[in-house]
This record gives sequence, C-alpha cells and structure tokens, in this order.
Amino acid sequence: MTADSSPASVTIDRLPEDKQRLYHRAVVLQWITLVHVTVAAVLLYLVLSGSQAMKGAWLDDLIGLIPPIAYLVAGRFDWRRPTARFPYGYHRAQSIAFFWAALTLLLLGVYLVGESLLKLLHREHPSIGMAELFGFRLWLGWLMLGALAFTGIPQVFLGRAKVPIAEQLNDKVLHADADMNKADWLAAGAASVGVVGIGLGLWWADAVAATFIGLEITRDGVQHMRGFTWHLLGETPRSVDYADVLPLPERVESTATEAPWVREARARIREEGRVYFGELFVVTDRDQVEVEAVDALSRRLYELDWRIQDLVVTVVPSLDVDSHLKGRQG
Amino acid sequence: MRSRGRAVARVPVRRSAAVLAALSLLVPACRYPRDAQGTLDEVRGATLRVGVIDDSPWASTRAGRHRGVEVTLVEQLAGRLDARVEWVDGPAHELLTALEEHVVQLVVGGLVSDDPWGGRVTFTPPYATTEVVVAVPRGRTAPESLAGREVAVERGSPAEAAVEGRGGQPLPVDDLRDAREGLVAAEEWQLDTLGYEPSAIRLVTHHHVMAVPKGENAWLVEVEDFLDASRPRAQRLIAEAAEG
Repeated sequence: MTADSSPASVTIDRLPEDKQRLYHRAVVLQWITLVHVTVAAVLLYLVLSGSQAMKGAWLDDLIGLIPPIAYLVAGRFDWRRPTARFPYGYHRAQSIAFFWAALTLLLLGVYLVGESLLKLLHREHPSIGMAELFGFRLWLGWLMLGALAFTGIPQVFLGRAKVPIAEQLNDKVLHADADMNKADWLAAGAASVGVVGIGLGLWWADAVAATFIGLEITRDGVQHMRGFTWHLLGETPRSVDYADVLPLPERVESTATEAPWVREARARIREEGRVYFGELFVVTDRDQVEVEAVDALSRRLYELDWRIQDLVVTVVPSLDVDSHLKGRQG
Repeated sequence: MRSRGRAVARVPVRRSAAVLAALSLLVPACRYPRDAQGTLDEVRGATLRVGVIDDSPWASTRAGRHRGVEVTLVEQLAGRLDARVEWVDGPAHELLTALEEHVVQLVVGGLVSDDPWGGRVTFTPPYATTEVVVAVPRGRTAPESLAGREVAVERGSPAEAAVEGRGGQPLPVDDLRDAREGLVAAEEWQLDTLGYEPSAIRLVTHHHVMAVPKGENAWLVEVEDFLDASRPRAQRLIAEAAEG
C-alpha cells in the first residue's frame, strides 16, 4: 500500500523567504560577474600584443562567462512546476548548470597547464614593446599589468561573496562558480607575474607561473567534476564543498519513528539540483493506518529541511523484503 | 565546511603576494624592461650586426656600399648607441633565422608588418606607412573603377592580386618605367619620378618595420623609441630616395 503522497500544497514551489533574499543576492553577483568579465575581456584584448600569458588570461575571461550564464539560465527553470512531460519538475536544471561549471574549470586548468608546458618546451621568448596612451609613450607591460589588475582584483571579492551564499543555498553551481572566480584572479595573477618576469628578462617566468596556477585550477575542476559524477549517480546529500555527508536520512528516520504507529523506518534521499528527492519506507505493527496519520508524518518530514521537495512515504511489511532497501545496511 | 572553503582560497593569495613582493624588490634596482639575452648591452659601445635584405629603396648594396632609407636609419641608431655597424648581406630567410639565433641583432630591408616572419622574430611598430595606388600619366583623367582595365604592376607583387581583386587586368612588368602608356599600380612616392598622378584607387598599404629577436625587450624598446622619433626623417628619406 502506498500512502497518499503529500498534497502539492505541502511543498513550497519556490525557495523559502529568507533563502530567496540570498538567491537574489547571488543573481546580482552573477550579473556583476558577467558585466565585469565582459568589460575585462575587451580591455585585455586591446592590450594583448604578443604575450602568450595575456592570451591565456583573455581566454580565461571568455570561458569564465560560462558558469554565471549557466547559473542564470538554470535559475529561470529550476522552480517551475512539474508537467506531464517532466513529472519530476525542473530541479535538475541546476545539475546541468553544475556540469557546465565543473567542466569549464577542468578544461581551463588543463588548457593552462598544457599551454604553459608547450611554451617552456618551445622556449618561447615573449616580446613586449612600447605603447602610446593619451599621447604618452610607455612600456606596454605596464598597461597589461593595469588591465590584469582590473580583471583580477574584483574577482577576489566576487568569489568570496559567493561562497557563504552557496553554502546556505546548498548551491553547488554557485560554489563551483566561486572557484571559477578564484581561477580568474589566479590566472590574472600568473599573467602579471609573467609580464613582470618578461620585463626582468626572465622569459620562463610567465610559463612557470601559469603552470602552477593551471594545476591549482585543474585540481578544483577535478574536485567539482567528481562531485558532479557522484551527484548524477544519486549520492546521498553532502555539503556543497563535498566535505561532509549530511545526516539527513537519519533525521528523517528518527522523525518517522517518533510517530507511535511506526516501528521501523528507512529513508533513501538523493540530490536533485539544489533540492532533495527521496522515499521513506515505514514498517508498522498496526493492522490499519489512517491516511491522516501518514499525511501528518509526511508534513512533519517536509518541515525538517526546506531542501526536501519530494519525499514519498510508503508503508511496507518489512524492511528486508525489498531489494531496493538493502542500500543502507551498514 | 566554511573554514575549509576559505583556507583553500587563502593560501595562494599569500603565495602569489610573496612572489610579487620579491619581484618588485628587484624592479627599481635596474633598467626595465630588460633583455632575456642582453642584446642592448652587447650592442652599446660595441658592434651592431645588421642583416640586410636587398630591397631598393629600403636597403641595397652597390659596390660594397650599403645605402637606402633603412640603412641611413640604422646608421643613426648605431650613432646613438655609440656602436659600429657590421652589415650582413643575405636572403631574407637566412637573415631572419640568424636573427632568431641572435647571430645578428637587427634585420632591415623592406620588411612590412604582415610579412609571415612575425611569429619567429619580433617586428617593431611601423616607422612609415606607404600605399600602392593606381596612377595615370600626368594630365590624364583617372578611372572610377578598374573593371576590365589593364594595369601595369611590378611582377609578383601583392598589387598584382589586388588589381585582379578589383576586376582589373594585371599587366606584370619588371620595371614600372617601361609602362609609359596606361595605368600603373605603384607606390605613391614613386609617382613623381614616373610622371604619374595618383587616382583614388588604393590597392595595398605597407607598414614598414624592422625585425629584432624575440624576448629582447630592452633592445626592442630602444629601437622602437628611436624609430618613433625618426618618423619625419623617414618620410624625408623616402622622398629623397624617390628623386635619386
């Protein structure tokens, strides 16, 4: 017998009030990121000249547009109501955005490392000449450093502003994107070290700095890509930085066993974009369970955590009978 | 979990800040930018070895003497650096490879900014810009378009393709002075001596540059500064070359 899953009115069809404010801040931050990165990309293009390091920073900027765009697009879909065609709703729009953000980081890191190693291998000696700005002649390297500072410094603050919001919103996309901001300013920093190094006649400084930073970005990319793979496999909920397994299934089970009619309970929960979907299997001693009792339990469970968006309560004769329930034996 | 996220972000800040600080200590102590292989120091007060590609009127050799617009400019540059010039004649590919290997420090001789060597050596910014235009014998009316018209061009020059691109008929000649009658495609500065007048049809723009080795940024900046200051002189030299 399957209990009547909670009526639609029990779940919220958008973020809770306080989270909404946070989400709006995240959206504003993403728009600021988009505008800033676009302006920075144009500026860098204008002072590109012959430096490979600068080309790296420029490409980094262009690629860096992908996570915020993915975030803003996903944000327009994720809370849409389920339809006949998409009966589970659109929460996985966030998972898709998460994929793009993770992939972007990984590719960028690998590109930076590969590019820099090739530069070292070819012993490329970058040339930076003079430039004219408002009638003054100055070394183009100074202009490059200025453009890099403009690119890099705001990214430090954007990234740091995003991390706490990502944690409270359980937002893996935003978290990966904060790492993208970090990648941006690290790459700009590497390019700056490169330009200063070129000025000192150290042709390899550029490539060596970029290699280390590329490795750091690759590490972040691998971490997020791995997280995405777990996420896609339906891993039990984890904190946004993957560090901790959240004890949510246990909380659901203990809440269920508080009900007098429940003898045993086992929950199975997975992440669906930013929210959680799952099932609760309940064993009862009674011959009869009232629909109201099941419904009351269901409502209490939804109140446990705003992220629980779809939790089906099922009464089963025993937890041993169903092979699906063997997952959490230990 | 928050503290972990912050820790990840903070370590590289400190690391790269330390690197930048260390580098900035070095900066005021010496000339900036510097060469990767010390070309400028090698040249100053000593010998400037210059590869010369034969391309009149920019650079050419006659009876062991080097002359041309760029030869004159290089002599002035050497004077500024208190250096003696040692000329090295040769074909372009040989000289540019020599430049890449730092065997010579400068290559001149009609190089323009869109020459295909740009990736292997560094071109200075242009010190002069010239244009190949379609011209008519003095006193004749200039055509509106080239469609179906025959135009004398220097054999194998980019103007040949440009004339064809405008629907004209290129007529390759070895010397533009042989084409007395019809239209010619010639450098603007050549027209007076040829007895021609320019039309409004411009075919090719040449940005004239010199080549230095890659990564020699003090040397590059020195040559760039000299060329930037020499622009008016370069114009005069081009005009003089056209007369003589």
